[in-house]
Amino acid sequence: MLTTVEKVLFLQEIDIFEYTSTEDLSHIAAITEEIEFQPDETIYKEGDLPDAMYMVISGQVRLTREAEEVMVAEAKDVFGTWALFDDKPRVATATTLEDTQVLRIGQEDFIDLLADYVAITQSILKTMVKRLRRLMTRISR
Amino acid sequence: MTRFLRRLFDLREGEGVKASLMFGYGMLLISSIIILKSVSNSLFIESQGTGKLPYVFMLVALFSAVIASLYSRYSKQIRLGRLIMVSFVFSIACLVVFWLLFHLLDPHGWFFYAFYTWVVIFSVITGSQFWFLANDIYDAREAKRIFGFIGAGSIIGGIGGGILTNLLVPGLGTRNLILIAVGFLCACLLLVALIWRRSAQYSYKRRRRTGGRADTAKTTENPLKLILDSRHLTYLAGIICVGVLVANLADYQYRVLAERAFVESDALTGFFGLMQSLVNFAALAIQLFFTSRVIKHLGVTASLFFLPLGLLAGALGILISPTLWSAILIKLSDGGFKHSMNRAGLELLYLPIPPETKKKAKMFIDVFLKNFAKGVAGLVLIGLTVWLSLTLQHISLVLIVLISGWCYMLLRVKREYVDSFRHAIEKRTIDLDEQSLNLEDASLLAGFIKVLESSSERQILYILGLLENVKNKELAPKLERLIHHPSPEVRAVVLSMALKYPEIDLSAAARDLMEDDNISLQREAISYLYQSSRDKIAAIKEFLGHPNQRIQVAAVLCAAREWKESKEFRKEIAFKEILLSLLQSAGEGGEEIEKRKFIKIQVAVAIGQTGDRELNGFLHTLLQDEDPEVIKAAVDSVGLSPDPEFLPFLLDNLNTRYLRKSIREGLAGYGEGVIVPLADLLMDEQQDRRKRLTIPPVLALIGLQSSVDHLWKQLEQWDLAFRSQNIRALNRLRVGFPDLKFDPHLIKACIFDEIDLYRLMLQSWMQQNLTLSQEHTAPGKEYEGRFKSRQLLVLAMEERLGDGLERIFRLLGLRYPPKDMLHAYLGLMSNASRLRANAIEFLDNVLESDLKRSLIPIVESARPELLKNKKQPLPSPMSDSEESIRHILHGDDIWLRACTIYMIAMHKYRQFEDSVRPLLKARHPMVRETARLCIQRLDYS
Repeated sequence: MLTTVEKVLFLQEIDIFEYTSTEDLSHIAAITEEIEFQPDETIYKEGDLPDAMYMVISGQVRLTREAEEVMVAEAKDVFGTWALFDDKPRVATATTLEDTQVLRIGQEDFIDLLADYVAITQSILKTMVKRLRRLMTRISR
Repeated sequence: MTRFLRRLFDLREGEGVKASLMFGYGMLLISSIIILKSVSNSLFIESQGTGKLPYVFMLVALFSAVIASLYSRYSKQIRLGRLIMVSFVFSIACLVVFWLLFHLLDPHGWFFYAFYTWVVIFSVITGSQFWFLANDIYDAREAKRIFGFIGAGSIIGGIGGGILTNLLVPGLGTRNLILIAVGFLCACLLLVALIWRRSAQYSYKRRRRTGGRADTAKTTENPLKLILDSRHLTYLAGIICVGVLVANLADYQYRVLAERAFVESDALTGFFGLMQSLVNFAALAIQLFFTSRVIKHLGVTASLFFLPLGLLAGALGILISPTLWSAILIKLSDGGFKHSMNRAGLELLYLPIPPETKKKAKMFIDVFLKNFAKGVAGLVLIGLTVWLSLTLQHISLVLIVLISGWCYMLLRVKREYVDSFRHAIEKRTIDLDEQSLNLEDASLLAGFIKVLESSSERQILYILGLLENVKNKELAPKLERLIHHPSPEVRAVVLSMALKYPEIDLSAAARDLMEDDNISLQREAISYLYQSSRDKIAAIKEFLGHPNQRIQVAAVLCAAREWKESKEFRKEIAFKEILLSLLQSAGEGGEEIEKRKFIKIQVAVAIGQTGDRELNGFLHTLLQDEDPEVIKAAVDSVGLSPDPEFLPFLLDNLNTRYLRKSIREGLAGYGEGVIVPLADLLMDEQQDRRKRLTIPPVLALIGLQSSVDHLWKQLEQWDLAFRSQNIRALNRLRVGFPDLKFDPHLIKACIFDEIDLYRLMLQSWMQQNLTLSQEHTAPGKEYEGRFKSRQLLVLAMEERLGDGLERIFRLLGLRYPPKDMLHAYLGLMSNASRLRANAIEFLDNVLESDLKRSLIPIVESARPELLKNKKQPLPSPMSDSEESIRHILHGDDIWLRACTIYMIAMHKYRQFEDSVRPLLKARHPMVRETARLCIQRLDYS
């Protein structure tokens, strides 16, 4: 089991939390859940209602859409991010390829947390804006 | 009688006592002012003669400007109620001293100057205090209804005071009338004490005063420049200044002629008193019967011509025949129009000016320009009467020239006024809460009506909001057309306004709209049908018993509005039974869930609107509902009329996400009664930490001194999360409630504490950063783990330093203008070196020397982002890295402790085992778990 500090070190590597302070990451870490999956276990299916975001601590998770592989998430990769922010059904199925350990952040808990810590929202928005700017620069080229 | 008065002045139930006290206060205050003015005028003229009047005008102008600006600067530091009472006590003491001096000594000339000047300043300050208090205890909507009533008290005081002077002076003598005024002021003191105690000293719904923002605005734009930059304001200022000049010259003529007619002092006092009554009576008659009609039919600028033309008639009268009658004519014209039609017109001229600009410009005009004009009037009189030895008729000629200039400016201001209004509509900067917003000006109405024909829903709603209190037959056909507008909001507003126009009948449309999907529109439709029916009670009963439940619910909402205001309604309608039946039907299974939820929510809303505590039982039931939206609606209703029985529920649910905002606002409505329970909860470490952290923002909504005091007390603890929250809350109180007191010594002490903390943290950071840069980053998990642990600690320390600097500047914002400190802080945090340099320069000029000495070195160079490349630590007593680590381990900073323990664990620093082991029993779980990890690693190695 990871301690909160260890989870923070892990969360620091996630790009969506690039601008989040370490103390705020500790608040996020406090609401995460460590879950272990066997190989070939389904974490969630395409079309399911979203309820959480996942971060791979160890192992591999395959994401497929209409039976076609979209990506394989490995250690420190994040998937299901948009579940934290909207209620649209899952766009892919997530299945483990081997023994996998993930860190799960529940949507309800996360939104609860944002209500108490506005700075987390600000930091995530900052990341989004940075991505948008990058995208716009790429498009304009 | 009560009902008649209530209907005449639109007083609601529960408002009578406070309004009557204000009525009495205004009446007695103005009476005493009239008496004192009559006394000071006649005593001055008797002892010095009218020839010395110009000198006293200049003296008054000089002292008024100085005292008004000092008063304006320092009065904000004292609570208004206390300020008024202290002013009265001081004034009573001064008057008693004056009376004694008049009787015991043989006063010299300067004494009469002093007494005259004192009376003028006293009347200006106490008169403005009366209206400040009125604005403080009533919100904008209440003010529009109630100010007519309390203003009537002032007018009656003006009339009565003059008559009383005339009646009493033969028996008592002029000087002894001072004691009558003293008696009235003692009564005023008592009334103010009662009013202040009765009024909610805080109301969350009260408009926040913008005095704090005005303070910071003073550091920005020059009001004279603001006036000169706007043609509208320039003409307005010109009109006011010329008006003051003309009024003073006319006043001089009036007093000279009065002196000639009444040789004896008592007779002169009696005449002045009587004239005051007549002037007030004339003002009242003009206000009641002519002002709104003239503005409505001729426009605001036309209404402003009455005063100068009345003065012109008086001046011509004196030119032709300088007798007492022409003096009476000029005085009646001046006083009668000035305090009625002219005042209303000038207020309307200000309306289209953006609120912040208006505030600054008005203050400058009232405090400086008017007094400057009075001083100029004195100089002009000296020039005309002493140097040139001109007669009253010559002065009339001067007056005629000045009045011509006045009229010219009135003609020019009209165009600027209309242009400004057009601009204000486009930008939506008209202050809807402005007292004199009663837009019946003919020249504007046409423009507004035109906007109603546009397709912009937003503009239509805006204009309808402005015209809410206007009744003009030209609006009626527009309303008939707008009832078919696609927007439900527009239709709802039209229905509420249409009640003023019995000539249009929207009943058919209202009956159709009763079935609309929009509940607010349904409510307005029912309200229209209810208000326009002959038998209102029967009409509402019909809707309350309607088979369609939605209509029934809308009728309940309509009835809830009437419930508060009508005793008859409460007698006739079994509201409780109706609510019970609705809730029972909503509780039954089988009905759609959404429908049941809808009914419960609307019942909660209705109960909130009634403000009737007998219905609280229903709210208790709704607060236990399973649906969060129903609970939220019930909490919102609790917030509308706070009752102590709901306090436990609100406090228990402070941290419930979907209720947080409603609960905060609801708790704030409790005012003083909730501060101690909140403070106790904040201090209770057994309570959930996140819940406790939500308390300072609630205290920040309660603008009372005890909120400030309790938040200050919390700063004694050093949990940084709470410290930051408390300081933020203090900032919000400072900005939102500028009359609250913040002890400057406490603030300074806090700032120095923060600076010391910053320095200690900086030392620790320097040590760790240096070690980090030297740390071996060889490949391998072990090394990587060690490096990352120290890196995390360094990062956490940098964040702490940033937080500490922010707290310092927030505390500075309690001592200095908040906006200035915010700008300085943002400048310092900027990437642009120029902005940082400007910020430092600003602080160097603004801060006191001891603060400057401590803070400037920090902001200039002692910040991590500026020091990162330096190798040498700053000299300090804590040069030992071990000492700094132990300091953190024993401190209150939870996150920093956890990071430090982790770093110790990864580096296996045995020397800290004795400090880490006790933390296995630490209160915070994160510290405990990290300590466990650390001890395991130390034991294993």
